[in-house]
Order: sequence, then structure tokens, then C-alpha cells
Amino acid sequence: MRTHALLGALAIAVTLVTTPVDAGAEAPALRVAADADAGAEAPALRVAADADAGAKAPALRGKVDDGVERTLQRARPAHHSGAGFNSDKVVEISGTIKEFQFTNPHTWIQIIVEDAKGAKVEWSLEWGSPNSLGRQGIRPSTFPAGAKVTMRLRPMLNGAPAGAFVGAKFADGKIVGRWE
Amino acid sequence: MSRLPIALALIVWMAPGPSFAQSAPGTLPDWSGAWSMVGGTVFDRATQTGQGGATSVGVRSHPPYNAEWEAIYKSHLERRDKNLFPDTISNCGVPAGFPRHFNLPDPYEFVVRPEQVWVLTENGPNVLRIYTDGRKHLEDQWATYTGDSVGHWEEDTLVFTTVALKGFRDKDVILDRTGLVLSDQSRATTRIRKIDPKTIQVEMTIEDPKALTKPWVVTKQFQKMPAGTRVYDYGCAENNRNPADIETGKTLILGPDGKPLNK
Repeated sequence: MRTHALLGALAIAVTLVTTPVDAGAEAPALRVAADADAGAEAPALRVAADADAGAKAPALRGKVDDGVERTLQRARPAHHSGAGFNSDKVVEISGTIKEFQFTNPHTWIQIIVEDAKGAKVEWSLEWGSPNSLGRQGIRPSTFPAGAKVTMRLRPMLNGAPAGAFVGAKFADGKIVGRWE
Repeated sequence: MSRLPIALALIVWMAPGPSFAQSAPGTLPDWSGAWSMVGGTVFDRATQTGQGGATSVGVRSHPPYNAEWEAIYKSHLERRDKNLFPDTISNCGVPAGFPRHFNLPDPYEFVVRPEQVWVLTENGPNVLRIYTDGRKHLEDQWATYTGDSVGHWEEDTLVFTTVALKGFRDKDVILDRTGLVLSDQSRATTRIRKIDPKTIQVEMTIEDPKALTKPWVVTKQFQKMPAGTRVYDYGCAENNRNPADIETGKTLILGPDGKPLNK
């Protein structure tokens, strides 16, 4: 559930993108090929299967400051498990927004990415609930279809084209989420 | 003569109904606005040490379970560690139940009326109704997720008892995602009051002769959210791409075609 905690935290952090946090230190941004082999770069690091964010927090502790951790606690959605995501790694993909599913219980950003062989692959990036994001100023229009964007995400452990949203940078330099 | 019927009607109209007699001595407290639970959704933060809601053995005390229920809880922890312990509310549509009602993220609302108090949670959504009109628990009340709550006011403190809980009888009520559970013999006495203008405190004394060796006191606090905070729909079934696998209990991540990416 730590991934979800991060999703929720990012919902709050999104309006604080200029406020640096230490969390990035735990997850150096790596650029990987956005193809089916991306998972090969996502070694199965320890990801407790605990659906409770608190239970996963010890791994996070020491890597983020107290303020961030409190944010994680406060913002976590109610359910679902983020155990399938590699919470210790951040990767980048670039592509075109297909759809922003601004729906409960979690939002999903669908993005079309061209892999190394030129094939188009649809990635799914999970984010916080539309309710919590909406209270932070995020809207369905935040990710318009057709926009070119580079995404940072915590990838799935098995290499599937999905992950937990961390941050986004649009072609015009606009940033959503965390991008320090 | 002609005024007598009017006077009698006024007397009848102004007379307090019997159901209001015990509920509101003086002014009811103002608990308006939106509130957010303090801390993580580990159920009992009072017994934990360290930050982050850690549940590792040795870091956080377990409830005062007897041996049988401690074994049940440990089995849940083991399944959790394998990502095979699904959260029951991931089914979308199942109430969180009591006492998990006071252990949820997202905004809360405490609606105070003379005859009852409603505790509303955006997440779920869930409603806890606490009757303060003097009624008693039914002797033949059947068990439900949220149970039956009746109470009264002691100055600015709402005191109520909750009974008729399903607990873990049907395997669909847990207290948090570590797999904490109580039995269908559980009941609670809860005290709610505003301890300062920005904090509502909920103190639950939980008794469970089937699962606990002694009463378990858990305190949760709720901080007032900014004025004007809106509370929204929480349609869990709207687009749930993280359902639990019915066969294994594993939480799935669904791709855009609806097929699991991590089966």
C-alpha cells in the first residue's frame, strides 16, 4: 500500500512542486526503454505485500522527512494494494496522453509510448482519488488527450506497462506532481 | 371559548416529544465542517511506537487477543506479507463497519441533531447513525457491519454504545489492512468530543469476550479541514482497476483492456 500512500501524497504534493522533498533521494530517476523489456530493469526489490501504508512506512522512513511521511499517512486512499509496483525505483517514459480517467477510486493516466521497435504501447499510470486530487486543484483537463508529456513513475515489478504516477513534465515545461 | 381549541393545539404543538428528552441538555456542540483522521489507517496508534504507522512485530503492540485470535491475526499477517490478504472493502459496496468506521482516510462529517448524530465518511461512503432520542438497543437486534448505536450527551461529550456487530463472522469486516479482526461478540462504548476548536477526539473502549482478554481502548483524532472543503462522491465501483482476485486474494492491477497485468 506504500505505493498508494505515495499516490495520495503526490496528490497533496502536486501543489507543492516547488517544495523539495527528500523522497527523490531514494529513487534516482532512471530512463529506461519503454518497451516490454522495461521490467528487466525493475529488479524485484523488497516490496512488502502489506496493504497498509503504515506497514510499509519503515522502508520509507529515513528516506523522507517527517513532513512527507505525515503527508503519506494523511492522504492514503482507503484500499487496494500497490504491492505490484516497485516503490524503490522511478523510471521515465515519454509519449502522448490518450486519456485521463478522473474516476474513483483512483485516477489513471493512459499514455501512448513508442517502444524501441517503433510499436505503440499503452501505459497505465495510477494516481490518487479524484476527490483528493480535486481538492488539490487537479482537474480532468490537467492531462488533455493529445498532449506530449514525459512521465516519471514507479514501474510494475513484472515489467508490465503500468506504474504509480510520480510526476509529469509537458513540452512547454509545465510540471505536475513531483519533478525535482 | 373560541380560543380554547387554539390554545390546546398550541400546548400540544409546543410540548416536547418524549424522544427528545434525553438528547440535548443545553446547546449541542458545533462539529460542523469537514474533518480528516490524524495518522495512518493502522487501527491503534496508541499502542505503536515510532513513526509511520509501523506494524512490524516489536514495533507495534497487538490488541489484547487471546491465543486463538492472536493466531488468526498472525495468519492474516502472513497472508498480507504475500499480498494475499485482500481488503474486504475492495469489493466496493461493503461497508467499512464499526469500529473501522473511525479508521478511514478522506473527509469525515459529524452531523449533530437533537435526536441523532450522523458520522459520514467520504471514503466508502459510510454512515454511522447514533440515536440520542432515548431509545434502547433492540434485544433481538440482528448483526450488521456497523451495528446499532444508541447514546446520550454528557455535557459536550457524546457517549454511545455499539452492539450487534458482525465482526469477522462472515470474513468481510476487518479493522485495518494488517488484518486486525474482532468477533461477532464485540461491542464498544465510545466517547466523542471536541478537545479544541480544530480537533475532535473519538475514544473507543472495545470489549470482545470471544477474542480479547481485556477491554481495548483506542483513541482516534480528527483535524478540521480548511473552511469550504468540499466532500464528494466516492464511487468505488466506478473504475476499480485494483480488484482482489477471488480465488487467491491477490490484489490485481488491471490494464486498459480490463485484463490483469499482474495475475
